[in-house]
Amino acid sequence: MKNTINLTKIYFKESLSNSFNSTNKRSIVKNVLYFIFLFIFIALCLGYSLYNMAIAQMQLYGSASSIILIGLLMSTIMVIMMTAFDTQGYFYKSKDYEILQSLPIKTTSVVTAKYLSSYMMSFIYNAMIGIPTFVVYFYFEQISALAIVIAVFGLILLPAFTQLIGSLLAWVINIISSKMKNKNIMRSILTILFLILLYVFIFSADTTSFTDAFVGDIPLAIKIILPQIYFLYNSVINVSLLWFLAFVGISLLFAIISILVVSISYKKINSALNISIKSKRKGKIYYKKTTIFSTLLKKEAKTFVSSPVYLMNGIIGPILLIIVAIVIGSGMKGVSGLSLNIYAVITMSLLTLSIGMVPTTAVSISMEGSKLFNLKSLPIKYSTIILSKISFNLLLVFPFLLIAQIILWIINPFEIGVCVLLFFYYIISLILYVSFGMLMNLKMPRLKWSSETQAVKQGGSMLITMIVNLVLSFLPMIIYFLFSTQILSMGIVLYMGLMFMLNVVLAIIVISLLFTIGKKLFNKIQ
Amino acid sequence: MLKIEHLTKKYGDKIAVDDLNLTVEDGQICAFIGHNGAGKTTTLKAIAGIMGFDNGKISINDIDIQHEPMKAKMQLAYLPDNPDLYEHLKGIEYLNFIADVFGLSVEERKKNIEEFANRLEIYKDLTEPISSYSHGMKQKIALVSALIHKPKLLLLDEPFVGLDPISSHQFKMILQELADNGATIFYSTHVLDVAEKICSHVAIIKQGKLIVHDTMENVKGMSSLEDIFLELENEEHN
Repeated sequence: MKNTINLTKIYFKESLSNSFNSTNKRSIVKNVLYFIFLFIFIALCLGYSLYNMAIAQMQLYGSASSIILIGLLMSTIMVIMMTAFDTQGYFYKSKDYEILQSLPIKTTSVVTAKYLSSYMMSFIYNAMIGIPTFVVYFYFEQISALAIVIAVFGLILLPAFTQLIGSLLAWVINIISSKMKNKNIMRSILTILFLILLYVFIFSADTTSFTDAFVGDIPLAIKIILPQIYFLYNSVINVSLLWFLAFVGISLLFAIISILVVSISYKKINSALNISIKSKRKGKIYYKKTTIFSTLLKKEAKTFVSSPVYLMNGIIGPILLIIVAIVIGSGMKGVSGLSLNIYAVITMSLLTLSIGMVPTTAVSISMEGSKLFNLKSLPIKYSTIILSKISFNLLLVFPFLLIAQIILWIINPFEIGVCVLLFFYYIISLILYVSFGMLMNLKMPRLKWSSETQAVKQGGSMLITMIVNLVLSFLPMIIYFLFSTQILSMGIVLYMGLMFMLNVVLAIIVISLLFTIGKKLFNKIQ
Repeated sequence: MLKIEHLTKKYGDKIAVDDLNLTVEDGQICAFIGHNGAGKTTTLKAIAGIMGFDNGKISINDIDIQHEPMKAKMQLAYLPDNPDLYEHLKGIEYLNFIADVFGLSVEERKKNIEEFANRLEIYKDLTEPISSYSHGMKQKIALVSALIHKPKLLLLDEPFVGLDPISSHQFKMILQELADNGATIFYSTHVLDVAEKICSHVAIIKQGKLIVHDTMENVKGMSSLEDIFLELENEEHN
């Protein structure tokens, strides 16, 4: 127990100082405050949407109770989509595996500490939606001290389900990969395969479930697949200790199962994953002259495909682009007039959200680790290094963006001018998000990490980039709904043009900062 | 030639390197020794242009590392104490990358890679991914990458760690050959008997200050470098 606590403390301390790129307390506080500000901002935006939703429910059914169900469902689905595949990075192929194995620490202690470390990230994402959900609910319904206590514990224990899914996926992917010759590639292939399966499962879910939830009729699927949410929902709306105990019980059960499953073959899997089998067939030594830029680009690509966590992080957005295009496209069939304008604005927001969800640039400096010092000692220009990282991200997303756009062109009834304008809007948004991610990673690089997940998922740069990109993505939608009358009178094409110009201006500012302040930040990294 | 003038580097309130002045001439192999945390790695990183510093000037063959970093870096090679390489690249891919950085022609890189990789017995493994290499093999690839452009200044941080006896012997010979051809070698180490054998000069740093810098013969006299080092350490304690 003592080892678990000590190890957990170490991981938390490491996460805090490295996520916010400093060992200096004042600097950590400054960066933490910056992050909290963005967290509150996004929670307020979500809270506002939930508030409007709750008003509608109060008018229709006289109760806002199902807002909890909607909020918890949203948060669970989002966290599963965002973090389920990152869990493997905490448990498997972490840099501290060998040193920890050489110490007299039980495997379950190590696994528990790693579990809690990954739990923290799920908790942050969960809380981002969970907190505004409960605040809005308590605004409309009567508050009792017990209900607040239940809500607080509910938020703390809620990630247990997503952690269970993450742990099981991690275990399955890594136990299969560990038996293969090309372990890294297998890990990546299996991770993408499971990711697609999971996304297909989520997106093919019966959407009438949500409608049922609005009228308070909880679908059977939620009771069976997500009993944790069902129990928490009942314990809050009925202020019931019995339901709450059931919720605590099932959450703890999920946590225990997660830890036990990972612990079972932890040593065996990790040992196998750390063995590299050399190919018997010797390749040919070649001497080829290429540009530094293309070699750096190739290096970025190899690093990306060889790390399942990095790969997952960067591929979610492009895959979502295609899915969103299909879903929106099919929803637009036969739509015209005012509804078409709304669809156009929703398309703008959702596609840019997918584009900017997790830019690789937001972590590419962190992924270098101490290798960055090798790069810095070489006569390579700052601009070459940065442009190679940005170009890789652009090249990764662009084909998916093109496919998504073709899908929309085939299905949607927009005029060609609107289509072209939208396409340029996506391109400039992509450049803006990718450059902003780069700037943030230069501001908050996390070079010391014991697992790739820490570099990819626990960096302050990633969190801030995601939040800012989320806000920028939804900006056209928020402005449209706030000033719809004025926008409709000026015309939707002009509105889109203004949004495009806004992103052009922002992109110019960010790129300028990247080549001025960014260069200074790069030189300061030590 | 490496020239360090009044180098000062602070980490917050702590002074890591304190007004350091040092010149290593062409053809010299200078050992840079000191206890843990004395400021050796900080100094090496400052010379290599990896980290900035608060005061002073560092020039490599009269090129200021702060004012003309690209030009200065073309002259040097830096080997960190625990080289972290791009594990996903093959050995040859990594070496080609470094050769590209220094603008080596195909013929030049072929000649140098073949020479150094064969001498350090890593040539046959160049087509394997670096991730499959042992610690010693990674060290060898890092050494070859540092030698590939025949640098004018070689900055080494514990370069013999992980090398087998044959490669270790070969590397000592390579260093001597480079020095004979006019290269400057600045070499940080804790292994004093190796430093004693291969270095023409020695610089001792303590708490960021240079306390000794002279030829190896003048510093150690009739005793060993280890005895001198311990003596100096004790003097400070007393």
